Amino acid sequence: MTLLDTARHVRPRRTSLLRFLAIIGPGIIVMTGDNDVGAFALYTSAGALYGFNLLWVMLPLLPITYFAQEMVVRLGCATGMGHAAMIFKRFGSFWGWFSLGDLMIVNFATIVTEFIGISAGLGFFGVPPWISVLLTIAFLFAMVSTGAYKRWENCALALVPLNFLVLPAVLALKPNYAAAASHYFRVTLPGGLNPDLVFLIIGLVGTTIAPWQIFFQQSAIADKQLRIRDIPMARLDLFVGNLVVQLGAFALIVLAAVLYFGTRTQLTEPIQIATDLVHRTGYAYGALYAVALVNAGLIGGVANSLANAWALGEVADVPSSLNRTFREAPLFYITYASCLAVAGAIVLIPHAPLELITTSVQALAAIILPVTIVFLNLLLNDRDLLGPVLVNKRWQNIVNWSMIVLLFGLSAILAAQTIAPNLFPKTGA
Amino acid sequence: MRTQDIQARGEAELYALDPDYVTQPEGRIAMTRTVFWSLVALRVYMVALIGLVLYRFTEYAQLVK
Repeated sequence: MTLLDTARHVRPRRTSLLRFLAIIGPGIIVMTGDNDVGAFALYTSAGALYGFNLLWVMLPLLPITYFAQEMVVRLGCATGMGHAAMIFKRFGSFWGWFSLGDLMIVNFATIVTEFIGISAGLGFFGVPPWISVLLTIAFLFAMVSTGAYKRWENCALALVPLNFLVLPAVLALKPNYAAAASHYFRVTLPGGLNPDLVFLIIGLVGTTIAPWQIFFQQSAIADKQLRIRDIPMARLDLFVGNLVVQLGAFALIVLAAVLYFGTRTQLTEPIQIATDLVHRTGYAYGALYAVALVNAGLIGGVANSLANAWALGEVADVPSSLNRTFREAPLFYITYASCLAVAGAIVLIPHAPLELITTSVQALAAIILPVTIVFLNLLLNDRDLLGPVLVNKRWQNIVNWSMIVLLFGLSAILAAQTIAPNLFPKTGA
Repeated sequence: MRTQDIQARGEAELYALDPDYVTQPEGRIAMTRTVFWSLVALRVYMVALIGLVLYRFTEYAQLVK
């Protein structure tokens, strides 16, 4: 009998903590995966360029991310199916193939960025890129090849605390906590709404809530076999994950703000922080930051690759589960391994435009996100599927459609700026 | 009776019943013409933007080479 079964069969009053511990996983992992290498790049850029001034952007993202992913929790627990499978079943193959194509392209590009971060992080310790790539592929494949969802989940949960390895550096730099806290609750637009600032704000939104999260979390819930009665604890799992993201983002913005804002030193890539920390606070702090960056790439890499593997398996209607062995689910494991191998190989191509790849991924994700949430919201309004209790309430629809309009507007601005960087005249920051 | 047809008064009552997964309804989701064409318009807009972003990507990639 598993922990989940035990938790379900003992008295509810005595088992709240036990049930939570049994159910915790999909929510906290998906949200920690959110603080991936792309997020490291954006959060630190925000801090370096604007100090504490953009901390407020994170606060509204707490409810936005929660409400979007909460719909995924209800859908996954009610149907026991992954998101790609749901779109194919309820919208047909025409929309299904489009959604799958979007997911595969953006996820694959995101995995490339994770490898970029991992190579940079291990490079801090003198590891050559080709060894970094091989080690990463071996580690991430070993994680999923245990033949049990729970074992994979335990490995992923063990990586979650490493997300906070940036905190010692933040504490060592002794930032002005009162100023940082006040900027978290106060909206400021330094230099007005100039294109650079708009781009960064959109990037922060786009990196905090991304299409892969929706597909990943629903498939994870289905693979874990969470049921309708597990929804309250799955929501709590998600909420804890949201707090992890907020704390991680807050720490990275503050760290970069203290190191670079108002100085002559420019931040060109996230790993630069590790080397600068060595000079400012000591080797140990730089090393911890580098490990945190590698960890961000590992969680992001496994989550995005799994999202692809689950989705393709669901659509092909073949076994796609971490509870299956390679022989039982070959397509699932081949897809997973292929994503890692090809993405790793791209990072090793000499003179590959890695910075450009990272920027393009953010643009693609931001373009696809609103459409993904539209489909999600339509599914959550499907009374024939979810019944009268689990279907979206009126207030939830108001919140969700407002969110879609906001995301759509932001994605349009981001897309316009990506296509034509000089579309909006610069006013100076 | 299908799981989704259970007439619970709220979520708490539904969880207490510990129902099974919902049964997949027959056919596809009911979609009005407005919703359908809005989705088509969204899709065209999205494909166009993705195409432009990728075009810009290849343009930059050539410059880097």
